[in-house]
Amino acid sequence: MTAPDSLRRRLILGAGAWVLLALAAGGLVLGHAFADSAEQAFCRRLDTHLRALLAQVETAEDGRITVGRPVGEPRFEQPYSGWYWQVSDDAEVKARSRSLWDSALPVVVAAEPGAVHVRRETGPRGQILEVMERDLLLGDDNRRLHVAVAADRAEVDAEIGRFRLLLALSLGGLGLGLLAAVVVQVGYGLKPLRRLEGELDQLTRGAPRLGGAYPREIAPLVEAMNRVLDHDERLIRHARNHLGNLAHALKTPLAVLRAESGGAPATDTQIERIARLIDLHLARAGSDSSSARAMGRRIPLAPLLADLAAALRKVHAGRRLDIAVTCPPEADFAGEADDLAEMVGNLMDNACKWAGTRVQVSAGPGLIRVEDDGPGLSPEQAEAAAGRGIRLDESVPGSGLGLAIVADLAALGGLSLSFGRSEWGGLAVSLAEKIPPS
Amino acid sequence: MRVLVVEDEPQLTLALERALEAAGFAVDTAYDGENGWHLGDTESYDAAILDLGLPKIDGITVLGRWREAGRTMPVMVLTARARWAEKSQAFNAGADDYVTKPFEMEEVVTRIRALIRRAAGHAAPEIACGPLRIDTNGGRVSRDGMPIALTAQEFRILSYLAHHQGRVVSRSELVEHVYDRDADPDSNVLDVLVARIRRKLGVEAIHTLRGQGWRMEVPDDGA
Repeated sequence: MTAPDSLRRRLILGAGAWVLLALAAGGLVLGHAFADSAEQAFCRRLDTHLRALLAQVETAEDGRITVGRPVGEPRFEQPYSGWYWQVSDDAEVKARSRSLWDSALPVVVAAEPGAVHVRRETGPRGQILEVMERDLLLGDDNRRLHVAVAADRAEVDAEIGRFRLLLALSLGGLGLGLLAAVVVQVGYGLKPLRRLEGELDQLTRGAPRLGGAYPREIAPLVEAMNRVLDHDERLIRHARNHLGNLAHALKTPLAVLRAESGGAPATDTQIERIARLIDLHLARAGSDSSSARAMGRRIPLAPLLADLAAALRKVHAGRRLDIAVTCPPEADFAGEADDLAEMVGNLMDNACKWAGTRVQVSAGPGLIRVEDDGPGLSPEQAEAAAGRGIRLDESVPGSGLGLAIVADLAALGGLSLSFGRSEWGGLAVSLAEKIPPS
Repeated sequence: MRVLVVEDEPQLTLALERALEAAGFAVDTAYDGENGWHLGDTESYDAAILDLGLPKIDGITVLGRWREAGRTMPVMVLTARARWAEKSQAFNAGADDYVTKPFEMEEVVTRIRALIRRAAGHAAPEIACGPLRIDTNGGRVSRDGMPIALTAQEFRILSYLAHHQGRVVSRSELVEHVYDRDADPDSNVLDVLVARIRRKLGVEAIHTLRGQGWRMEVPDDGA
């Protein structure tokens, strides 16, 4: 079962979220720092002009207030340029910059003379002005003058806006670059896992163990899996050897018994029955011992069928049978190789025993069909032969079909076994996977 | 015809030896893989019966070593292991036939005869040579349908020559294939036996080639 999430997705999402968060925080800090710096520079300019203006304010002998022209900012001379200055007292405007023309800046009386106030105000043309002002006491009569310098904020706001746009574009580009790097890095980092996946796939196709060098983080897992596989293989081999030895130990005395009995029919029948029961139960035990290893494994059919056909040509050499195998190279079958050989070998051997001259084996993915030109089976015989868990002593007496082991192994392996007529009128047996291969 | 039996169960080996000798074969026996391999590698046999579960060296290894060394005699594997995976392994190693235990002696004898016959290039169980008919399964010989009585040793000699008719069979080759390895035949015994066979056959089928051996051949007119 595949989880809805994947390691790759998790790593990319995790790294992506962290990159976006870091870039957003960095962007905010940088934007704020730049805006603060720009504001301070703007205020310093206003402060410079205010100080220059204060230095220019003079009182004439007749009490009039005069102001020399502040230098350094030509926009004070340009009407409604956004840069203004103004000197006023409690009653009226005493002097103003040419840029104010006939307008005036609203006056706010400062509480403490000498203290600098900064505020925002709407200018003559609707501009948002940054106003820096200070009150000044003149002469012995402590005459109070209000001196103000103002500048349009549009310039500094535009500068901050431009910087923020540039910052956003740069960080966005950097973010995309980092995300691409994360995707590449995750892909590179997970490459050994994809290789492992491929090797696991090969394992189901018959490879004995996982091979190759893996990174330190995965190597222990691969080694542990190989240890399990080796252990599994040893157990199966041990079980197989044990079964082989058991067969030898049981059937050799039977062979002696048969030889000593001199072929007495009653004894022969019983000996034959015991031998076939031994074969059936050993085949079943062999299948049980290897079924765990067979999970998900697929066996290529072409070499298996070629081996069996070559063996049967020798076994039935005296009859000059035409044993034909049609099998595309990609055809395979689920299960364990020895069990499959046991089933197909018995089917082909049975076909050879009953065939007149021809045996045809055709295979495709998940399907094997064995046909002969012999007498075939009656529906009752076919039903008896295909019965689940058929007991040898209950099978069709004297039929010599040898299908009991096939029926039993097919049932154990969850395979379907069906009987029909071949095109020559003989028996056609099909062995198929119940769930077709994908 | 000389057959090697490699089987570790003494009673079964004895039963096989008796059955094969009764069928007219000279039989050598070995009770383990090492001895069996050595005999098959150094002696001449017309066929071998080989068990797979042998002490010292297993049957598949013995068979593989014989084939690697160029020993081409037909080999019948005789074993308790009946699974097709094991049968395929044996055939891939060079076996020519496979019989599982317990078996009928008649079946083993019949199949050994068929193996020997096919190895010599004869498909049918009856070998014809002019007016002579040699039934390799039944151990019978007839001339123009009339049975000819031969002893077991005479039949062995005639059968070997008939299997290789048209080819010169040397004295040593004939000795190797009609006597077991414990026998030590006198040098004149073969000449005496061949002369007796000739007389019984009543047809000039076995020709003596001085210094070379014998050749079985009958002209087309059968005379």
